Amino acid sequence: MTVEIIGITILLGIFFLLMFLKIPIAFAMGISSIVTAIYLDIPTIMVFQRMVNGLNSFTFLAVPFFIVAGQIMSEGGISKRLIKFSNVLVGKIRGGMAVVNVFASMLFGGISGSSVADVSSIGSFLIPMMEENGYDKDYSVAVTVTSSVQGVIIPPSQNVIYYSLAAGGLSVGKLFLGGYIPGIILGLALMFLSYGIAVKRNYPKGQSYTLKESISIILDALIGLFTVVIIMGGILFGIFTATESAAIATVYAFIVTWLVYRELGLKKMYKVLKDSVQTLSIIVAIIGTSSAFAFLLAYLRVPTMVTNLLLGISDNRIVIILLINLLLLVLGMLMDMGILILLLTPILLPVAIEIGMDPIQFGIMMMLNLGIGLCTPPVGTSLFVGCAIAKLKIENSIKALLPFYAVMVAVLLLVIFAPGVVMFLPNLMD
Amino acid sequence: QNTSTDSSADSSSEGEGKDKQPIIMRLAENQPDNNPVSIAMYKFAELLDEKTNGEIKVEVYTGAQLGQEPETIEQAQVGIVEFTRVNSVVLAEVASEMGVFTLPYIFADNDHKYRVLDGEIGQEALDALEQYNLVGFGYMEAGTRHFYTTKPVRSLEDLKGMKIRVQPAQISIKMTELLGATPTPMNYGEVYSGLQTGVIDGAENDYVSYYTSSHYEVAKYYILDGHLSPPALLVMNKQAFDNLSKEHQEAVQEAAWEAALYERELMFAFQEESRDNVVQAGTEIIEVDVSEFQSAVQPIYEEFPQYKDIIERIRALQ
Amino acid sequence: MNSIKRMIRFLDKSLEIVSMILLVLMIIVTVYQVILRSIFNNPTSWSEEIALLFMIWFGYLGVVNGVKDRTHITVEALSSRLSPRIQRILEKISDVLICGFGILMIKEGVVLYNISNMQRLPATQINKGMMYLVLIICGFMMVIYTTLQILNISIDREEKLTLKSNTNATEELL
Ligand code: NA
Ligand code: NA
Repeated sequence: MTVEIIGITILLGIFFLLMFLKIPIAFAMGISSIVTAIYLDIPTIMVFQRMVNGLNSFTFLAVPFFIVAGQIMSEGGISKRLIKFSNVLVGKIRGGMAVVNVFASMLFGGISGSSVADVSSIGSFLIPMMEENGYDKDYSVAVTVTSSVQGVIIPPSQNVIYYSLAAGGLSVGKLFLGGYIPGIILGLALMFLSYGIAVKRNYPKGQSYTLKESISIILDALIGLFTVVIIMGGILFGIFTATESAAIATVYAFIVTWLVYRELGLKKMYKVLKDSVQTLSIIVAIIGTSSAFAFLLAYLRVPTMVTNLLLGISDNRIVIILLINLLLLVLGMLMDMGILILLLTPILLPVAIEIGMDPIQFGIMMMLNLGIGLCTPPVGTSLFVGCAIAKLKIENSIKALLPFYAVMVAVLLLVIFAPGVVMFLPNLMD
Repeated sequence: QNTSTDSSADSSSEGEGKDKQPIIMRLAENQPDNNPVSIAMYKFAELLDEKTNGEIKVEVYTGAQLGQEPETIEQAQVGIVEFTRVNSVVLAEVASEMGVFTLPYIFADNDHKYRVLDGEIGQEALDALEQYNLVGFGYMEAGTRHFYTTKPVRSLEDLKGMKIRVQPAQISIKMTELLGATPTPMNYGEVYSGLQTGVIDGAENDYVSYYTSSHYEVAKYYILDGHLSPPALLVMNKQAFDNLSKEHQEAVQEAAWEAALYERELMFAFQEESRDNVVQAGTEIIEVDVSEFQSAVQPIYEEFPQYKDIIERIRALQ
Repeated sequence: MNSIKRMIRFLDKSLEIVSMILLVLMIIVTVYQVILRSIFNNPTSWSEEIALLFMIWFGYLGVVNGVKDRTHITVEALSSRLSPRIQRILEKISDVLICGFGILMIKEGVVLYNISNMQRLPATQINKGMMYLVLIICGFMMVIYTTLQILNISIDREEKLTLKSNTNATEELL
């Protein structure tokens, strides 16, 4: 036991120490992993093996594609047309762009199934657009990152599939249905919050246009907007997978901006690629070393240890539910979703069933919980991706994120204490 | 080439007297806790503990927390973990000697399968693992794989041109091509949506995975062609094994064997349970003329001339 | 000294160009995969594997780029309150640690390369060692760049200036 405690102390201690000494987060994770491995007598080769394999996933391929697509759209004139287009639609509302952002995540969350892909797709063109329209960076990042959590609840979601697998074959169909209402509630709640903050921070309203202007703007934006149609339609009609849709969107955006809008020459394309490489290098470094970090947390049995500790505290139903949520939130802040789902479901699900929770409700609760973890430091991939795109320091994003965390936790409480929110649709299936 | 294993070396260093520290070893398993193989791995740890009077403790890490199978094999090779449980399909990518068991229709039935695996031929394949810095123990059941599709397949003809998701392994890809279907590699996590939207027309797996992955909800036809029946097995880092005392080595072998037998029983029961579940959920199980499938894949044996002799020996045990 | 600087500038450029090419290839391969499957009804098994291999290479070359340009994410909440001198020392410590990380990356990369060297990737039959070779190459480049930073050797990268003026120009445009 003491070996584990010392190991955890070394891992987290060195990580935080290095991080505060301004060592890049990716290397702080890598170096603290190396030191811990040496202490535990694990060959340090583990760190580098994980760095390569943590990246070796086809789902992650969507991220570079979306980043490039976003860059092309903003350099090549699609984004500025879409800004005008959204101004026509929601320009009279203060914070309209933020509402559009959340709405886009609701639509897109339905197809990507990955919240990191969501942040990189929507973020890479909406964050620069919002900035240009006078929104603060931290606010734009907060809206983009937190609304991406819907992506893990609104189907289809790969993480939901992992959960069904770890639960020993729960119906994916029912789980998918269970995600809709909480996902939509979360979306609406984030929209209201974004609107409220926009009013408070006095963000500009969009321009208003005459009908004639509006029509020409809509027509001009249509061909760019078709990118979205391609992605959604292609996936829904089974022409391609979510990852492939990202590549198709990139090529389509390139062709439109190059041949139709004629705003993207070879020289600009060079800049697009250069900027994309820079943004991606930051993301890749963190994904890589955080895989090694997570390996050690698992190796040191942190999830099991914390679970046993918490579940031993009380046998009151409410207390247990709250403790499980606390546990998921805390571990979600440290480790990535996929591993935690496979790891914790077999331990926690029986407990949840015993205190009368439906496995579907528990699953959605878990997704939401771990999704919140993706938006929090110290290990929050969605947050990192959002900050990397906006070129914003993580510590500068936190203040703007706080009210968003509060709203997400409120929706979480609703899922916990009003099971009907989750169970209504799945129950219709029986 | 051998950098590894200082860890296992000093964990097995001789302690003095009775109350020496137990040797701690790690086992990586990619299935979640409730799967029969995971249950068998916990059983292995328990048996080994008993047989060595608590002198060897095995920590089991389930749910792929230490990585997916190709990675955990590497980890066992270099000594990051001592044990890992893997499927022979994945292991064959490292140790080609295992590949013969992953050929289609190599086993006539389960009796034949275990006559081969538990006999001389199986042992030779385990012995061959040594050159990859691994030691292998008793074979486990990993189910017999069948196709499942979104449209009914009643004969080989119906399978023609269907896009079938297969494992990213050379033999699976070749086999599917020979059957006239189009092998479509796809990330396992995307298969459910792929079947639902029609990017693919089918996939292939055993009853257990077909059930636990919920693929039965979106691909309702299960075609009993039984093309593959690749075993799973427990492998160990070679230095870690060599550093154990003779008694401990024997204990490991015994515990692994008993756990494997236990796993086979559990897995056969779980296969049946899963079959009942999918039937209840509305899956149509289709019996096909297997000989049609068998003759279609014949050319695959020529593609792997290195297995020629061993295939003959396997056939002789039928 | 000048020839060293020229070599480093050549290395900079190659790093940048190769990363970009790999990124473009990844996209092309994936689109080609869709075309083959949905138009020619002839799915490929190699495309996904090769796109992933490109991503690993492109990703870690990018990581070196980030070390060179100091663009990796840092937390400055604490360090920004320290005196400039201490901040400079911290920067040196960071360089030394990353350099050490690079050295270990080379060493372990060689081991990983050796054990996977005899394996092939299932669909493409490419040597699996290629997956880990990038660790060795990137390790070397990380050591080179951090050493230059530790020794305060400036490379006078004129391209950096153009990049700056570029962003200024775009900002004015917006
Ligand atoms: Na989703
Ligand atoms: Na987090």
